[in-house]
Amino acid sequence: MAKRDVVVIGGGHNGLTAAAYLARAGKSVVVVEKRDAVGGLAGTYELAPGFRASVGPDLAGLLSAEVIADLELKRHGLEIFPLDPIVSTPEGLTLWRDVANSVEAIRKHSPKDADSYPEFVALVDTLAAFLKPLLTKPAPTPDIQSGADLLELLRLGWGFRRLGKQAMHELLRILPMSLSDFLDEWFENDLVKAALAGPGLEGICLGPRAAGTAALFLYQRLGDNPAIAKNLAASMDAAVRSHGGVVRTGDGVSAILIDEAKLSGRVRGVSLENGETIEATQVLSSVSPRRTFLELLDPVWLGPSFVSEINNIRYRGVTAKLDLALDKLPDGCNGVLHVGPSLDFLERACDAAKYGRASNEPFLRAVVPSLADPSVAPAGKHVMSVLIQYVPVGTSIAAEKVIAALGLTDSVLHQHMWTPSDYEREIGLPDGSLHHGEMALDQLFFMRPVPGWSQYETPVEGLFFGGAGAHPGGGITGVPGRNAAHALVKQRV
Amino acid sequence: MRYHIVGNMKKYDAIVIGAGHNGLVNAAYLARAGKSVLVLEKRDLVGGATVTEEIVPGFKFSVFSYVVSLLRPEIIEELELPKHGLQLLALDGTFTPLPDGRYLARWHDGERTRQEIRRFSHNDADNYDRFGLHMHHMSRAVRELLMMRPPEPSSLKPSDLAGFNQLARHFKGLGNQRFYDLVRLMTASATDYLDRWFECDPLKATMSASGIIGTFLSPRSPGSAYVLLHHYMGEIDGVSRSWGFAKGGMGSVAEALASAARSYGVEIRTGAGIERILTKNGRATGVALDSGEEIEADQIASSLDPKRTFLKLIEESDLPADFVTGVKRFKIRGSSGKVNLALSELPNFTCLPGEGAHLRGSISISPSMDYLERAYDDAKYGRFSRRPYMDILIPSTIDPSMAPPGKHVMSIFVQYAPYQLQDTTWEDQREAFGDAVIDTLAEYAPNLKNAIIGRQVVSPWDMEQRIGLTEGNIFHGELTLDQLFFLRPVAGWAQFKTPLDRLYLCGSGAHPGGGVMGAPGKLAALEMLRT
Repeated sequence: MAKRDVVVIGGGHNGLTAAAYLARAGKSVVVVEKRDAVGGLAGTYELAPGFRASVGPDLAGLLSAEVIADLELKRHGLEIFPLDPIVSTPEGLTLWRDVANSVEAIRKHSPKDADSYPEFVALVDTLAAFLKPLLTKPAPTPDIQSGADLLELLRLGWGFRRLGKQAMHELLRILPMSLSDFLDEWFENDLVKAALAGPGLEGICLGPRAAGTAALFLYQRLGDNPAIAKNLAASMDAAVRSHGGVVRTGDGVSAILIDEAKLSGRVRGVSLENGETIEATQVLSSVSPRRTFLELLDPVWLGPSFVSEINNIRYRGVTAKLDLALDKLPDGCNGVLHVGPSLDFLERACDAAKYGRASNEPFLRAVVPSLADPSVAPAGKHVMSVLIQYVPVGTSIAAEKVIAALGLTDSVLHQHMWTPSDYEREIGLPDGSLHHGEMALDQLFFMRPVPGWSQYETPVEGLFFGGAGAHPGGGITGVPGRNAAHALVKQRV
Repeated sequence: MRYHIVGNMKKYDAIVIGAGHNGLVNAAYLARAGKSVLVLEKRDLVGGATVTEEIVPGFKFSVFSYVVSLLRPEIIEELELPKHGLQLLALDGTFTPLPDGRYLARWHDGERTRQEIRRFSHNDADNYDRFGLHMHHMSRAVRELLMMRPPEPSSLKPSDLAGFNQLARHFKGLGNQRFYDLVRLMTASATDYLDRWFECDPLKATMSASGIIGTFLSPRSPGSAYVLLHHYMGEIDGVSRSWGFAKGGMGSVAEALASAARSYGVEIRTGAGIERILTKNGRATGVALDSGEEIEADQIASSLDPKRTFLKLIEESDLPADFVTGVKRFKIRGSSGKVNLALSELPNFTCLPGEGAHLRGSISISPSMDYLERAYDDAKYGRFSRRPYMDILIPSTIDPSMAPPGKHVMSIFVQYAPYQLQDTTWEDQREAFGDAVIDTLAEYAPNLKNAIIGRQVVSPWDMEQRIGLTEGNIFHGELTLDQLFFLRPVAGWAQFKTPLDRLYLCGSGAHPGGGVMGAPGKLAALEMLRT
């Protein structure tokens, strides 16, 4: 194969996003994906004849509007279906996009909480609006090297000041808090608190009492959440191809090749598991930090302290996913179904995981993608996808238990369970971590993937890192891929 | 006569509410600068949580706080505390008995400690000193923040901008590596932080235990690494990381502070509880005592915790609503208790029988990380730990004057003991809690039960009742990131001032927080003297 400008490792949504931006910038790009289908976690598979399900969590509300527009994903077939209600529980609490409707729904459970809700939403929206640019641009580095770095910090400071004194204080206070402390300040009803807390615990081996979960909660509020995407991976794949990029599936990268003529090393391409070599000037990896730096590279090119930092990244995947093909839907399966009636219930569910066991009473968050996009199931039938926490890597949970908890025993036609171990083996997620590294405070922002390397560069010249293990982290955002592509294009070759 | 007479009332330059260590430090610094100062203490003895009491005749208990390590060296020096009787005796290491009959010991002597750790892990023995040095550097990085007045992030006042400039220069001076590590310390869990260095479970458990003392966190809770540092910050006679015991018990720290304060002219009245703080037109003007007596002063400093100060001694309507909300939201969950024992003989540990240096240091019941985590799990749902973490001292092995000849006193700090119990009260559960503590300890030292002459169980509820710590929180508010630095106790009010003109906060609820450190008392005094 002729020499390329860039090889992108991994055809997940970040890899495809990066490749599309690079191709759009005029680079000759090839994406190398090990699996037969593109998309990684954002891809789909055939659950049963006529039923399609997503590989990873279905909620795609965080996908950056800028990425959608820049890559013209809608033209390439992407459709986004916002979900409403945003959450519903078997106990009869339903929260809607419309705040006034939610207030009425909450009132049945707690008049006091109903009164608090609008102000709570306003605060969360204010804080999320401030955080959004912070989490969509590269993380400002505390290591000020240039005027541009300084300017970025000053801009941040200015945005911060514009929040006003009160929101400023609240932001500083809330970011390191636990979700239970944060929600306790606003609400009294267990169910209300638990229903709101759900998204803030996704993919992390922490319960609602753990400090930093309030930050993840805000992160999940950044986008048009929750929403279901149709043709997500396919539209990204099409975007890459439309700019002349090549996407190869069924071939895994076995090593990143280094040009040793240069003392400190420089990438010269990749070798594939089938023995083939692809020469390239630059390489962008969207696979996990562990795979990228510890398996595909000889550590000699990275240096001991970098390798030690990468070795110390915590993954701790705890999310299993059960995909169900359903004959019929019970009533009230709209939006995101949340099973987990109190913060203590959620905390207890996490307790087992601390000792390496799967939760006996897991908390569940389920969506029915076929309600938004009927094409994924035969007429009248449905697909439901259930996220199950906490199920640590190496453990499993009985599907029947989950099905019973959802009251679906009579309607399941087919099922498929993804445990963290399955995600590790089939998708390459270390310890099954959906976020390519736990999204806890000490692994976010300029600490992600490791301190000092949050700007998508790596110790190896010409190698860039733009997976969910990079800032700002996991979830289908496209942001790490886009930012890494920008960093790559900026580098003089 | 340092006060002036106004009408028929004395008027002081300053009144300090509470004669705990911070109140006394505050008063001493004010008087040292020439102010007339009155300290009012509800109890009949000074010290607050820093007291020695003879609960069982002949046996002296440091009833509440039990070690000295954080007390700022500059305070000891500036207030000449040794001249006023303060004598600190070093503790010899930490001994962790294990259920399998082994033990882990760390001694004052580095080589011996390495040998002990090597029995468990060569890696950890090699890393131990490097880690100590690392934490020493990190605590130096933080010390500067502790001893500065936190700048207010929303302010453009020159003093605040100068504060941020100082911070920026401080961080820059640390270099990238230490800056990142500081961020990690502030945000990571003690477990995750220690996992980067060590593999031996009992070692990590014992080290991480200092990261949970006084907090409602487990070693696996993010944010607990910071408290680890807080406990590494100790300095005695310039030696970093030394834990000390005050000769005569903790009460002698308070006595020395009181004596120093008096030497500068401070008047201390005990048995003088405060009914409320008097206000007029948004200004604090004095205090009314339980007896009905009213005393005026130009400045009032409260060393009580923020909840007690603002919610009990002041009318809510005299304070801005958002401030009151902030105070109500301030987390002050008590999580620890004490069991104090009078013993006829020393405990005899199965894993290391007989007397020895291991009884002259700290004894830690923290055999594994999971053990600590399970202790926390109990507390999360409103129960005391059935098998708790304990930090034990036998002060009489270091200072024989604490007990009659041949007999001993044992101080057991216990976690977790949540203030809020599920479906029951501490009055009902106090002795059951004491039993759980003794049963657990007796598994390691079977002669303990028969050696007990007297015991005192102090629950968080008792701490609230007896020394006024709201919810029995020993730090006057949890030391978590959302309640530190410019957020302590309430955002916008971290500079020791309060919304009431001339009222200041000088206790552990103010920056930089709890521990027998004295820093809030001193910093608040400097702030009061500035005005």
